[in-house]
Amino acid sequence: MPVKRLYFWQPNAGVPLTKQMFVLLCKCIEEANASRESRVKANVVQYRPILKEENQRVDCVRDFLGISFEEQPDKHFFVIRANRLVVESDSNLPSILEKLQSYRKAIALAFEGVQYRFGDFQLKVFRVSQTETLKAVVMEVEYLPLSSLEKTRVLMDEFLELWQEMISLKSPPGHLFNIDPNFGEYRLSDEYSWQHTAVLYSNAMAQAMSN
Amino acid sequence: MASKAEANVPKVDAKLAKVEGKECIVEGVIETQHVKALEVLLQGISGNQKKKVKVHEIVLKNVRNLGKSVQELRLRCSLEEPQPSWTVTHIGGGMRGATAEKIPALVRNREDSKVSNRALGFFNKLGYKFDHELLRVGFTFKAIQNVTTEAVETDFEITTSVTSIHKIPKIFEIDTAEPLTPGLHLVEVSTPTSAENFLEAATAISTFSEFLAPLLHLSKPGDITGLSSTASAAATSIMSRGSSGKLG
Repeated sequence: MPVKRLYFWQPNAGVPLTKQMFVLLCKCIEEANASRESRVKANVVQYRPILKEENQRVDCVRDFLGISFEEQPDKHFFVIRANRLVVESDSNLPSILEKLQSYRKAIALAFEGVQYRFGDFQLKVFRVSQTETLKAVVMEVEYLPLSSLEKTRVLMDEFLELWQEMISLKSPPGHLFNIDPNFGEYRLSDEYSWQHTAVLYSNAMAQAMSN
Repeated sequence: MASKAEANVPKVDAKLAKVEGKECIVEGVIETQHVKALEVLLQGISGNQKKKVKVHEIVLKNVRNLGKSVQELRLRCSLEEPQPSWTVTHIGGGMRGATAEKIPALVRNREDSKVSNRALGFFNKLGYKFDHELLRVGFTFKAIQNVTTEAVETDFEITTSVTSIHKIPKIFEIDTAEPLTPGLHLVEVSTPTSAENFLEAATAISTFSEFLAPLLHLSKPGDITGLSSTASAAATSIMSRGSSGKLG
């Protein structure tokens, strides 16, 4: 599948994150004559263990993430960031986990946004919210013709520079930055896949919750 | 409750049974020497080709203090295809109570999900650790069993699984596998079902099981009634009819 990157909007020091940043990014993209396509959604949920005795130790992870994409309704993804582990499953694995009653949903982040087409690129701008609270603004960039990470590395870097320049013309109170996804540590290959995307979104959640 | 059964003839206006998180199942044992006859019989009933099965099943249990109760997860790796494929299965407790007592099959919660190949490591980290493992080798057949209840026809997809269960003395070393009960195969007849149609599913299972009655007794798991006394004669009959090109 086509290569993707996920960029995080970092406001300047002392500047609060607001919905305006989402609006600004969309406006930049529209002014560059990208064509608006559709609304898009994704969800990232953090699971934490349910302990029989709260004060006793347990031999399991502290938390893990479940990721779903509206474009892939039959699939679900799980990431244990601490162990660099990603797993893909049918969409009913969360229901199995619920029946086991060993993990509960602790935090849920909704990614809601807009998709644009810009030549060979597909762009998505998301507001990332925890219930009503805005936690982050992210931009996904997808290069449709190629699926090799190595072959597209330079091109994607240059594309980001182009957008940083376009956005900077609006004197924005922040910038986009790339969180290095370390796909190799997750044993993911150069051939891009939905498991790579799950890792990107799990990193975005971690970044959003740390802000 | 009226019921009519005709194996593997889907009715034009029959609805495929709604399935949601449950299965209806009976099982029995058959001597390995009669498995070929059973295969011939199943091929005749289902009209399909058998699907070969070689599954490495790893049973995981939750660690101490995780969750409210002891739970099992079964991780199954299918070794028949060129690329191994993994499925995780959760089998819950069987239905209990007066209704359950009357049904000739077991109805229990069951859900399966395909998973990618780092699933074992994933569940280990989640606190689901190795309890034991098995190798299942054999075949399955699928057939449609139609059930009519108050003029409503429903089709149930019945899977008959005939496997030899092997224990694996050296952990994860499938090549060391040995039959758990030499000379015997396990037969499981099941259909996915839901809270709404499990009674019809049990009828479908019960009716389908009658086709196999000459060769083996099928009953609720845990209630295994032993080998069929008519198995040898039935097997001989099936094999001779099969070789003459007639099945009846």
